[in-house]
Amino acid sequence: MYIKNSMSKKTTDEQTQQPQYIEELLKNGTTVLSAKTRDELTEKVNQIPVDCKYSAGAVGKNYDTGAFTLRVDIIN
Amino acid sequence: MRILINDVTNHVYDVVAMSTNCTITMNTNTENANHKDIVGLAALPTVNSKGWQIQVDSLDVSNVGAMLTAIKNMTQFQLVWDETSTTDNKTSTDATFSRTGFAYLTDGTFQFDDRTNSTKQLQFTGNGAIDAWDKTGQSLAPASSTSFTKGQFVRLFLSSDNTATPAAVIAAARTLSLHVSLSLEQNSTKDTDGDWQTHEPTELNYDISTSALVRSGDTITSAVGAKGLSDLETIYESSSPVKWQIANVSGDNQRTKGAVIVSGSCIVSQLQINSQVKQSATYQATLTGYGAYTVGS
Repeated sequence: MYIKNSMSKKTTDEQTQQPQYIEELLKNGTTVLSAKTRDELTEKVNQIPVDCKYSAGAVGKNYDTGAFTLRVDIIN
Repeated sequence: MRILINDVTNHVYDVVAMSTNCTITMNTNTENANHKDIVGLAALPTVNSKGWQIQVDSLDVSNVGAMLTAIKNMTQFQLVWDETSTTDNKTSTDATFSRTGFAYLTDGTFQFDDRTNSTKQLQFTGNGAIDAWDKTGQSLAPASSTSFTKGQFVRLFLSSDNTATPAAVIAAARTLSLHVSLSLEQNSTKDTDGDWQTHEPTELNYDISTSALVRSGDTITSAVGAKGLSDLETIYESSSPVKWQIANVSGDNQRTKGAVIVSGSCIVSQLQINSQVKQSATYQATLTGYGAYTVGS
């Protein structure tokens, strides 16, 4: 997935201090995003650099912890 | 009984997470070799070829994108099924019996229905022989997903033509199903060893099916930006492809698009409207994929 419609996005080169889940995504090619609310999860998705092509699964909810999760994989 | 999938490149066996059911089928093509020298009428079947299939159902839809990529790329998987002898179904390597083989992912159905846990159903078709699995040195990845996805949080977006980014959901939708199918043909020849069937991929097809309540004239349809029966009927009558996306949604009426799971173009190939006395009128639309789909947007 290539995000084109977010003006505030930075490229991987421009981003200096990346959150840990972004680092994990870029390093391992996959990560599982976790957040307390769906909006917070959307925020995290929007942090993924604009030049990073990725695919996402469906947003799931863990009924034990109440956390929303989304698996993201880099597409080669 | 459990199914493990190895995508061949990373050599880690993933236990299919949140699996609800699996079916392993082995079938044989036989030929009756009875002839005039044999006394009596009893059949004498001889084995011509053998094949195998695995179907696995799961509540984990977090890797829909990865599975759709695998079907599209015609990836061969190494599958393992084993009998775990402990209660630890996820990480146990202590299997009393196991078998393995290579297979194509030939059929995937991903179901996102309102107020229901989403499901995926994967069907693999074996390519070649089944062997004993050598566990030595293999690493086993525990089932990583533990999250349920309610179907109302994944929606189908449609555009009105084949250029614009799909922006409108199907109003008052109840069900959504994406079905992808990879056709195979048998390619065994006299050069092929053994009697196991071998295959190669020939064609990729997919279709999307959705059902919704008829809500034409309802303010929610027009005000928030959604497609109703009349829009689908217009698309159907135009006989032209339109763009679609299946995406995570949030916000008011679950209509704010989040991460896009998969997208592409389609034609509306079937529209069925049902109106029963004293019940809400409903319709079901089948969209047939036009060209390749894209994982992501």
